[in-house]
Amino acid sequence: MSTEKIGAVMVVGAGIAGIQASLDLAESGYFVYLVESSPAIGGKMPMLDKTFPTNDCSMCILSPKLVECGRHLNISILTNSDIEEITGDPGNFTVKVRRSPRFVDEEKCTGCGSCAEKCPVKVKDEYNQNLGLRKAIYKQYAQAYPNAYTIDPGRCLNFKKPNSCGKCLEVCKTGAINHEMGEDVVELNVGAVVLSPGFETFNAGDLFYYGYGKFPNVVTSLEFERILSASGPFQGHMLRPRDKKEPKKIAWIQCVGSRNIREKHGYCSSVCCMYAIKEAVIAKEHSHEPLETTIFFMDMRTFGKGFEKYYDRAREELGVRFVRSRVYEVTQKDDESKNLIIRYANEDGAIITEEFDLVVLSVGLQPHRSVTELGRKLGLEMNQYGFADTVPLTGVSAGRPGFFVAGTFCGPKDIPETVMQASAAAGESSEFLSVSRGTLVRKKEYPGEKNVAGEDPRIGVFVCHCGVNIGSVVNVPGVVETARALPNVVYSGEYLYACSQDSQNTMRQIIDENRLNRVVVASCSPRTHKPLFQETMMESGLNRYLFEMANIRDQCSWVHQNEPENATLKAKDLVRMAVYKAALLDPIHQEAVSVTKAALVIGGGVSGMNSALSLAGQGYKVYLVEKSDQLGGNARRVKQGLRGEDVQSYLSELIEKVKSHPGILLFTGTEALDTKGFVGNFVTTLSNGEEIQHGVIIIAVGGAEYKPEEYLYGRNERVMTQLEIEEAIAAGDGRVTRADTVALIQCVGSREPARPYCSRVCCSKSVNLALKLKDKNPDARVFILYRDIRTYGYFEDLYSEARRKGVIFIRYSADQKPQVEEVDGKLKVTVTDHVLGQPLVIDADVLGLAAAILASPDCKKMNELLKVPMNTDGFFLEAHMKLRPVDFASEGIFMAGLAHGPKNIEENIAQARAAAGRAGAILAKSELESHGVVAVVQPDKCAACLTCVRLCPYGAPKVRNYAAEIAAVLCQGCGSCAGECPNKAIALQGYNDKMYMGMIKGLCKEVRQGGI
Amino acid sequence: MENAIETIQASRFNPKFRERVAGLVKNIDFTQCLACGMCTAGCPYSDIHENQDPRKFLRKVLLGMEEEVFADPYIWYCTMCERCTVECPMNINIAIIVRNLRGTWDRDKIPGYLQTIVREHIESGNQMNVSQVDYEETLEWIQEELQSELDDPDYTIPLNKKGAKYFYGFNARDIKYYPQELQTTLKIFYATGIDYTISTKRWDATNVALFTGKNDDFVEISMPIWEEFVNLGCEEFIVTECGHAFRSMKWGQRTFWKGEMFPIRHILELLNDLVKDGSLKLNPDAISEVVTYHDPCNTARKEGVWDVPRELARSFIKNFVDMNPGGRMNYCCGAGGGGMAMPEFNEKRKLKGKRKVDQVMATGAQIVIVPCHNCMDQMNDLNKWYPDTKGKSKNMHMCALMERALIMPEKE
Repeated sequence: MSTEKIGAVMVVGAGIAGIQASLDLAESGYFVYLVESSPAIGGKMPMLDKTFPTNDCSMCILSPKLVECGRHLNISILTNSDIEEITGDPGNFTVKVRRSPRFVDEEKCTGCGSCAEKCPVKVKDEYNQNLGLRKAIYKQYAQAYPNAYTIDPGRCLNFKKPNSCGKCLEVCKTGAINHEMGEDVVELNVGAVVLSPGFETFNAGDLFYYGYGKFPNVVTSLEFERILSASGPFQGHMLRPRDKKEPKKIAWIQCVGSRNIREKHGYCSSVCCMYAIKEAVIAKEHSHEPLETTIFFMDMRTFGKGFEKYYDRAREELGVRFVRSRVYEVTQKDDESKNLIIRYANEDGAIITEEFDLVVLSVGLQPHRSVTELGRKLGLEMNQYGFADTVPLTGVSAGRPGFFVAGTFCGPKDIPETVMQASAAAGESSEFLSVSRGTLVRKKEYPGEKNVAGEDPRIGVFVCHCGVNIGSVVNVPGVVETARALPNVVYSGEYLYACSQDSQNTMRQIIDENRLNRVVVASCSPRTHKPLFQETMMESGLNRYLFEMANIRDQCSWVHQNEPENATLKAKDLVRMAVYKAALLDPIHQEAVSVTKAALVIGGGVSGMNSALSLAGQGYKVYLVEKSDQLGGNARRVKQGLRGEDVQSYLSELIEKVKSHPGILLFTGTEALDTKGFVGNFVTTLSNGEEIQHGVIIIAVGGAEYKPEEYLYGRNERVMTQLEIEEAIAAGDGRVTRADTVALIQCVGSREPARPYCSRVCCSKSVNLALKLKDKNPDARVFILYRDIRTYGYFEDLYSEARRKGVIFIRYSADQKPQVEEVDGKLKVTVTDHVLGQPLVIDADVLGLAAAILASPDCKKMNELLKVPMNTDGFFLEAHMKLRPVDFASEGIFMAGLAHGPKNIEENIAQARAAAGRAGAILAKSELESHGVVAVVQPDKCAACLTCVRLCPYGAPKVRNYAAEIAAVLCQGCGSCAGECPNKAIALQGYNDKMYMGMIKGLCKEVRQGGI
Repeated sequence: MENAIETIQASRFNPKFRERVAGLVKNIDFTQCLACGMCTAGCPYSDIHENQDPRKFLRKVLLGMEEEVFADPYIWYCTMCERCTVECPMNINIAIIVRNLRGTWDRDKIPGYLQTIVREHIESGNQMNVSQVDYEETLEWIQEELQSELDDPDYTIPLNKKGAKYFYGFNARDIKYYPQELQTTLKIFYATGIDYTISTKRWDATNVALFTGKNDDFVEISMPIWEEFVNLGCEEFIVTECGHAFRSMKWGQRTFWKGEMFPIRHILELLNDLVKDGSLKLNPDAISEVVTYHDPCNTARKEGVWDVPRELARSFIKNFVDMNPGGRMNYCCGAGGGGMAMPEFNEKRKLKGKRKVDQVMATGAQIVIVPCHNCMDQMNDLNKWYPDTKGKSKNMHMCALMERALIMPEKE
């Protein structure tokens, strides 16, 4: 048996989880084999139109990651590939991968698409959920990586009868197509395996009563995503698939294949409530006429961060109608319209029959059978639903050493949680293989930078259609023409997707051919796409700051979609300005700085300790700072996890591990007072006077339980919060354990105007407590008064168990809350029974309140100390809600645990480990480049007035020798100082006055010529 | 009557009640109810008259409102058609709960004359209390009629024939009120030349204890006919066009029969096979009227027979139209669950039946095939109660309609 660990990891499944895990691992010093069974990476996310709760275009936020993953030097992508067998020992596995032939050589194919154009065979396009057609030779989607076509052997004529067609062979200029290509089995050596093979949607046809497959105007939610999508079968026009009419009244039916014991899908799919609301909101935006949208649901499960507000807004401002009723059946109207009839019961039992012209079935998530089989073959525990079971309180451990899991492989979850778990799996793998870090990675060498000083500007302008995002509104060829006529422009061209792999290749070629020394891209947001284009420039030997972007999507086609002519005029103006500015750009050279290979973790709760242990395990020094005298945080009060785990013994083991780990320096009773520096090089002064140096910071300052003012809390000792009840049960307090009647009220302090968010944990927690009470005293009458039961995922099984054990659930509405009075020493709780519609009086011995989870007051302190932002609820605000769920916008600073938002212990652990995974990717590097765009002072103009010193949020300027100096490494390039400097002594690189005057000149010159 | 403003005291809930009900219904975990409302919408009658909402009824059971449950007229209003929960995502079956609660009733308090029928069936061996003499005389009469009709003086009804392939079980109404219906069926059997028998001991396949929920009565009624089948050594038990007889035989056998299982089939399943193998010839031009088919809940939704009767109907009816909904999702005629034998609820069954009337009217059919004695009686009443529809459609058994198209084999 070899004890050597291999510094490579295999990631199985290339959806967003696999991509994120691969990127994190590759950045952390491991070589990654990313194995994907389909012909392209991306998974399900490319199929989605927009994503909740930010309404970001799914493809737009994913695309940079696809490209980054696709071009990463340390990620080897194996498409059309499946795991055959894994042998060997943890740390040194041999994986046999079966590669099905693509019939197109990935290396030779340029993705030009001539083959598909000529291919005579039309096939239903699975990527478009069979709503559109593709050819027998095809690419999954426009932005697909690898940017290479693939042949569907089941449909290609040449496979049916050799030499019967061959049209593709005739047109392929690179000779990439080879019908003879055979299967291939490769053996790869890796140290760990991350499994993220994803999900499939429930087959809606299995519920015959909703008419899917029978009625043309019943579609699945994934089909509807394609209908909405600009890259979909109808180019983003919202149409009914059969008659191409625009619907006026759409119904969504929830829980199709979820919360259904009959279909052996007892679990909740966790994401459907939110995606249905999102689809309704986006559909309204798409519709040319007022669109009626109705969502039929049982419990509205908007439990994630920012979800409740999204639901509130959809309901109250955007007019999405919510009907609490599970639909019995969908029937089709007996006429030409093929409209659909839904007969449903209102909450009071009244029957309503309504006609809709489109019905969307919100299909649940399930594991693909092959995925369940793979898990079983690998010896993992697969649960009753076919998903992988994780080891309790690990977040990502598959129960077999060296195997980690991420994403929907282990249960339904949304994108942020998937990304979080992927980063955690990467962190765990990195910890597991830390001795071999850096042994198998390759380093990227860019060509030497061309010296463009003294050259006249030669500008290339690349205008993007962004599918139809831009092109359907803005006259792109017109913009290209305008750009071509501008001074210094030597090239101007249009691209369907400027960001796609083939466009990037073309861009490099054009830069070379035209000897470009400045590049302007007119496309989408620089926030998501600038780095991608800049990297292309570096690959062409150009300094990446010789680049300018015009956002003609967000600022033109999106906001002015009803005025295409004006949108085009504005796009031309923006391009003109960008070109005038580009002519004045200078190269900026960044300083490389070393990285202090140590981390500061603030907060010694479960999250902080998990982050600390993970980073220490990865081989980095960790300073763990806890302001109280003991470790453990809120978990000290929690006795049982939601899966029945013994939290206290977990906690004491965790504390023991932290205390005994040689890599962790523990500071209890200590606070961080002051932090200076930047990613890679922070210096923090602690309250004990010590000064520590570290490269990253993880903030895990926890949360707090709301002290209710409602329901006699604080005035009657039998009214308790959830945590108090839990403590009372643990302490054997007879008031609780021997109570005959217990009422638990949900949403106390949550989902209220003052706190318009869901505390996420409390429904499952109350169900858990109810079961515990039933366990102690089977004759106890336990009532749970709720607004929506939000036992998402497998917690639905707990809810089932509670109903089985006789816990009674009564729903109340926000405008008719339960009344609590003290009568004869008992608590009289009055609530209207939601089914019978009659007032119900419960004489409770104990009343439990599901008090909200609050952000810790320390979030505010951190906000002041580290300038990290908070949302309006007081929780930290991540860099991107979807794809950067543990990162702050400031590099090198990460968050974990309740400080980010309410979560259960398991989820906090996953997030803590994700933060450690992300932080580890920085610490793995020996040096980092400083932020490129920084402010510079012209000392002779500086009057040392101190304006900049007072203004700078990062403490970058200092006055020395009667003039300000700005430390480049501290400057974040925000430009506040440059704007405020009274004598214009400060300029922000790439944003100086001259450039802006140039932009205005470019704009106004044209205006003058236009005769205004 | 429900009183919307009456306050419920949780202290009065009987937590043991649900356990008691659970003990009765055995395999159904009704505690899983999410009160989602599918059943309320699925019940064809929840908006027809009061006290007809399955969700509210089950809620009372779940809360432990024992008194209110037993006082709830829902228990006897429900036609046990099973439409409400046919696709319940929590696998609940309201009809089974209803039947088992009915089963707790004192026999003398069971509404209408349901229990009288049960008692008479136990005593006489048939639900119409036909005496043995009357039965045998009726068969003799039918035999004579057929001898002349078939112009075959040697024709005999194959009685008590040991080892016959098919054992035919039917409904006592065929003997007491509609012997010509039985005659028609036997004529068709004759035309096909099948090997079958009728018992003179046990022949009534119906069982009204299906509606009273009394399992001991049920077994007492049906066990003898199953034993008679075994005794005669037949291969297959064929049940007449009667939904509840078919259900009683099929479900009863699954639930109570301890011996070796034997095949039980609906007569229309047999006849369809005979049409397909050519032994039964029907004239495709004989029926020119527009015809539709009513699915008895017991035959269709509960026992899965809805495609075959349609295939059979289409084989000889030119203008066949389907009712909507049909098959598994059909509407009950309104008098399921023993409704025909509870005259005190006639007003309710009249209201319920309107839905079926509308459904039939929408098809424009002149003839409705009603392959069930019980549905037939209800639908004939509906024709009377809703005079606008009277005469617009005629309710017929499939065999009666088939007779009009029957091509008798050439005499040898």
